[in-house]
This record gives sequence, C-alpha cells and structure tokens, in this order.
Amino acid sequence: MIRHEALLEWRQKYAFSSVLVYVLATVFVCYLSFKRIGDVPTWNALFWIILLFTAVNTISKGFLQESRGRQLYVYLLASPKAVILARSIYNAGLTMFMWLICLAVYSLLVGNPVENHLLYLGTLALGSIGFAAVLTLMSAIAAQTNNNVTLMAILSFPILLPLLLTLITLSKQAADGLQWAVSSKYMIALLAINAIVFTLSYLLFPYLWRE
Amino acid sequence: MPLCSPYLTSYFRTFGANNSRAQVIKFWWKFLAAALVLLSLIAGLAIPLGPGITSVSNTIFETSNDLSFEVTGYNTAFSSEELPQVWLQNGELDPFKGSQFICADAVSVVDGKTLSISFDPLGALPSRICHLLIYTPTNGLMVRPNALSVGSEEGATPVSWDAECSPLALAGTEPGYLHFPNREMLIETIRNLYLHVPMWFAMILLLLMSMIFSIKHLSSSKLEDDVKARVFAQVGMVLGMLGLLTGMLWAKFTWGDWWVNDSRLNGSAVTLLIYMAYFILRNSVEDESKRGRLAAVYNIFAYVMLIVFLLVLPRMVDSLHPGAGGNPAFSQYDLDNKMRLVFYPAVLGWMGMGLWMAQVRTRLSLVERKLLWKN
Repeated sequence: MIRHEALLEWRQKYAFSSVLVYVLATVFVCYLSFKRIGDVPTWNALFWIILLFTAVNTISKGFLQESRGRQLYVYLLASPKAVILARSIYNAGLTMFMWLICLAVYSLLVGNPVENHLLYLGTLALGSIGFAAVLTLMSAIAAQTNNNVTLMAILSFPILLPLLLTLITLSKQAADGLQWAVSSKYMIALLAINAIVFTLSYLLFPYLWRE
Repeated sequence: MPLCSPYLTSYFRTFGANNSRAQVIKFWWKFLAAALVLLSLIAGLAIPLGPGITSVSNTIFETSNDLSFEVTGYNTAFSSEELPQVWLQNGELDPFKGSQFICADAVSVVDGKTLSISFDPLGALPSRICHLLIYTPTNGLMVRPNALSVGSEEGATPVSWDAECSPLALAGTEPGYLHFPNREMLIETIRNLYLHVPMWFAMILLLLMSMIFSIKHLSSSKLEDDVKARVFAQVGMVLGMLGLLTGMLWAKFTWGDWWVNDSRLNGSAVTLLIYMAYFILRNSVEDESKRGRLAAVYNIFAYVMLIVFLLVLPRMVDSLHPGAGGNPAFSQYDLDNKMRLVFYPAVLGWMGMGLWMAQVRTRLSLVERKLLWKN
C-alpha cells in the first residue's frame, strides 16, 4: 500500500513540486520580512508556523485531489484500515521530508540557533507522525464535504493545538541545548499523544470510508 | 382558541391533579437539579463573608523607629467595649515553623471598620516579612499574610521576644454566625466559585455525553443518536461560554485582566474553536446520514484531544489556577466545609440542568423534523 501511495505521488509530480515551491516561497517571505532572528523563542515559533502550513498543504492533497473513480478502485482492493495506515505512514514520511527541506532552507536564510540537534530532529520526527495521523483523518473528512479546503484548516487547527504546543515547548528546549533528561517528560507526552491519535484515526476511518 | 385546546387538554392530562405526584416522582432528577441550582444561588449569594483585613496604611517600616498604622477591615465589627488584640507574626505563616509573635503596644478603635495600631521600635527581626493578626471575640482571629515588611534595619538592637504574647490558643476561632471565608484578593468574588467551576464541570459532562452519542450513532446509524450528539454539544457550548464569561469576570478582579496567558484559558478558547468547527462541519454536509457519520467521527476525535488539552497538558505547565504551578488546590484549604456545602450541590445542580436542557432540545428537534416530513 505504501508503495502504491508513493507511485501515485510520483505520477503527480506537479503537486509534489508545488508544495516544495510553496515551502521555499514561505521561508523566503519570512526571510525577507525578518532577515535574521536572534531571539530563540521567536525563531522557533515562526518555524513551527511554517511547518504547520507546510504539513496542511502536503497532506491535504491526499484525499482531496483524488478522483472518485480511483477511490472506488482502492476501496475494492484494500481494507479501510490498511488504507489509513498506509496513507498515514506515507504522509508522515512525506511531511518529515518536507520539514527537513524547510529546516535546511530556514537555517540557511534565517539562521539556526539550535544546540541539541539530535533532540530537535527527534522532535520533528515525532511531530510529523502526529501531524500526519491527525491531518490524514481530517482530510478524509473534509474530502467528503463541499467546501473542503477551508474546512480542512478549520477542522484541524484547533485539534492540532495540543500537539503543536507540546512540540513547540520540546523544540525550544532542544534549541536551548537542554539535555534529554530534562525533556523526557514532554517526549513521553508527545509519544502518548501520537499513540492516541494513531489509534483513533485507525478506529474511526472505516466509518468514513464506507458509503 | 380551538387551536389551543388540544394543547391545553394534553397539558392538563399530563400535569393534572391525579397525576402530579407521579410526575414528580418520574422526573425527580429535574426537580432536584432545579432545587439544587436555586439553593446554591440563594445560599451562595446570601451568606455573608467573614470578617477580614482589606488594607494596611503603611506596609514598609524601619525597625529602629516607632511603627504605627491604620488597618481597614471588611465586614468587621470593632468596638471600644471589646478592645482588639493585635500581633505581628515574624517568619513563616505556619506558627509551628518557628515564627515569633510581637504584641501591639497601643490599639484604638476609630470606627467599626478601622483600627489605629502602634508598636514600639521592634528591633532587628530574623525575617523581613511580617503577618498581621487581629482578634476580637465577635470577629474571631483574622490573619493578613505578608501585611508588612521591613524596609531598613539600621541602628536596630536585637529584638527581645515576649513568650507570654502569643495568639496560638486562639488559632482557628471564627465568628459565631454562618459565613464564607474572607480571602485576600478574592473577597466577595469567592462566590463565583459556585457558578464558574460547576459550569465547567457540567460542560465537560455534556460534551462527554455528546461523544458517547456519537459513538452510538456510528454503531447504530440511528438518526436520533446524531440529533442527541448535536444537542448535547450545543448545550455544552452554552455552558462553556457562560463558564468562560464568569471566569473572565473573575480574572479581571483577581489577576487584573480580562484575559491572561494561562494554559486553562487557552484550553477553553480551543474548546470553543473545536465545537464551532464541529457545527460548521455539520452545516457543510447536505446528506443527513453522511453528516451524522462525519460529525460523529470528528466529535470523538475532538473530544479526546480536548481532554488532553484541558486536563493533561495544564498539569505539565504552570498555571495561575488553583491546583497548578505551586498554587494550592481547592481541596487543601481554600475550600472549607461551609463552601463545600454549597459547591457540591451547585455542581450536581448545574449538571442536572444541563441534561434537562439537552433533553428538551432533543425533543424539540425531533418534533421539528417530524413536522417537516409531514408537510
């Protein structure tokens, strides 16, 4: 299933590259408006806002841009649980990829005050998993309504907030160079939220799929 | 009139003299909820606050000079017939942690609310913080923590303690009449406890019910469950908004601003956003069965994340609310037994009222639907 997703993505190269260009453009806009940010919390907060919009853009393509016919085809081939798992995992990978590009460009232009790089990357990885699970399910909901693009943002932003706040705290700690032991509380919270989110979307998705 | 008559007959049939006792027994919880809310409102507003000290005229003093100041009380009844006893407590507020007491040298009653107090030069004190204690038989023992602090200790001789002078025997004495505790900062707003907190509890319960009906709807696909999920979310929102408004009033009084950056306040804002999104989602789907399914999935997901946001995350960061970030929880000493006596009925009452409102609205929605189908 994951291979199938990747194959689909490859066929829609224009969509993929559009998100890529979107990332570059956003970071560049931030660069031009801020130039250099010396203040670590501001740097971190701005970065997470960019990441949030990147993730929403990346993942909303999945269900929203799919044609009815193809959905039916996938429906016949695979069980809904397999579909949501494959899509979430694939989206997590894709989001992580986009975020890494984001991080690279952002550090190049705006600067990078991060001290504990490993922890920061770990935070990004955990975040991408949680974001992917939430946004995949939300895009599946939004895809079935009429005004899907706006609705996607309305539905997912408030739900992402607990995740986002934990991520911002954790990544700020990483940027400040705190050790693993200090951040372990937030790390565990993040893992727990990810587990909850994954289980919920795994359990709930079949109800969206059947029609 | 003919239009009304079936209505009236059915009304009398339901609430007629023969049936009234049966009705009361059948809907006992509604009557109980209404009675509890009424009780909590009346008792919560009518019971007076105990006496307390609201202000001290000068709060910084020098230990080598005479110390004299005026004290303004709230709900106090000072009189020159029973002259108040006054102490300064130096050190920790807990008298068993080695703090010492100093007796006032002259106390005179200005009026029922004002005292004029003076001390001889105190001498060098071990701690810079002093608490003020005042006792009269009618008012009981009043304490103002951190009332005075030492400004400079130049030229002070070491203090000599008088072992006779101690209010410990009077600890915990209170006025004879029924009253709520008088806490500094809170004062009369302590009554908001009976509105703000029960409304939040009721909201969480109603949203939980909404989620349960969403789960039921997913497994049964019954329209009725979907209607219930919607209605419970609506009533929960109303209670949540009321809770937010009462909370904002309280925040303005105690913390000085309508909105402060606090994890629980942000949580409440997110709650409102999530359920607004829920209603928008409902409105943007035409097909009824599809709407029910989508809304149910979102509702379940949203509620779980909400619980994480409202109940789990605030415990990990500092909060201005009681019970977080080193603030004492209500259970420790903020909520005394008299307040419990009003607080718990208020919680149950508001929960019951919420359920009742939701039940009425559910019936209304179902009837509306039926009428719509008939035409």
